[in-house]
Amino acid sequence: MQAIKTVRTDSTPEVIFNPVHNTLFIAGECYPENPNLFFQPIIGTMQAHFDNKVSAKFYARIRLSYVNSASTKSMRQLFMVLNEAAHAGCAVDIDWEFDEEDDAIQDLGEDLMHGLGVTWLNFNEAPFVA
Amino acid sequence: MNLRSFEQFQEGAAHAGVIYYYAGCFDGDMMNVLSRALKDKLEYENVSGPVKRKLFSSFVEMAQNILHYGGAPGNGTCPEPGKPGAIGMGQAEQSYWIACGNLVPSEQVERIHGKLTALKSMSLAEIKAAYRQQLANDEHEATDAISKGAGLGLLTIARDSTQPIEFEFVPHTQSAGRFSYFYLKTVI
Repeated sequence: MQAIKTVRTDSTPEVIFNPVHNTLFIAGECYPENPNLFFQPIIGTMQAHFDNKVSAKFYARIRLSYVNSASTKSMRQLFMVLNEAAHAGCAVDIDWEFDEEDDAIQDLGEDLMHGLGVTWLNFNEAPFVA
Repeated sequence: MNLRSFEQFQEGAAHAGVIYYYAGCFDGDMMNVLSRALKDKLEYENVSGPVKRKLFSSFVEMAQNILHYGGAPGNGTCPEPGKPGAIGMGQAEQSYWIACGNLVPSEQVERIHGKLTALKSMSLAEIKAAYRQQLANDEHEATDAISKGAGLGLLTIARDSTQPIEFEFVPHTQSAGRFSYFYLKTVI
């Protein structure tokens, strides 16, 4: 299965997907002009990973400092892929890290979870002091 | 331009508290340049973390609105896919403001006007609820042919504004009514 490793840029986060260890790490700012171009390969690879075999567990660590509105839909798609994997029996843990002074990222995490309706994800808010 | 005009421009900007301003063509490359310049400026001005994040967010939503929905009269001054517009940020006593101006096709004025009028009357709790609902609305692309994003841009700007957002439409006479000038302002 294909691994992903993107380098952080001014407008896109670092993304590391390790299909062997079943981990995903996202960190940085996210406001690309076209979020679909950036996210579709990542979401497609994740989808294929879970379609191939649902692992026993998966760990996602997401540490975003800014997300523009257009990118939030891609984040929703990512959460939906993870939620489906969890529904299929994978123990999915998400650590949602945010600056404790930044209620926008905290709210986004809560809004994304709320938007899933019924969820099987283990979602942990992890505020840090910047 | 003569120096007298420049002096008047400079005095006007100082009077309005302008600390950042760009007018011209908006495209992907310029967006990167403007984003970086604004970040540097906010660092330089020692703006606190949360305010800095809100200012930057409002800036990105406004600039991407110009890029995605702005009208281009096609008179050669701003080659496609660029869009002409202006964006500025300034300081007023205890707060900061961001304002932008760009052309929109006149037939879209009513639609934008309606959206913004509704937003203006909403409380923060109502804005947050509408945001949450729209984020989970997967039919948006199918039901809104004009919107290219998530339909969350104006909600995002309104959510961070400490005062109701202000807006204005002004007829663009040079294009004989095809376009209108659309101004938007938020306070943080």
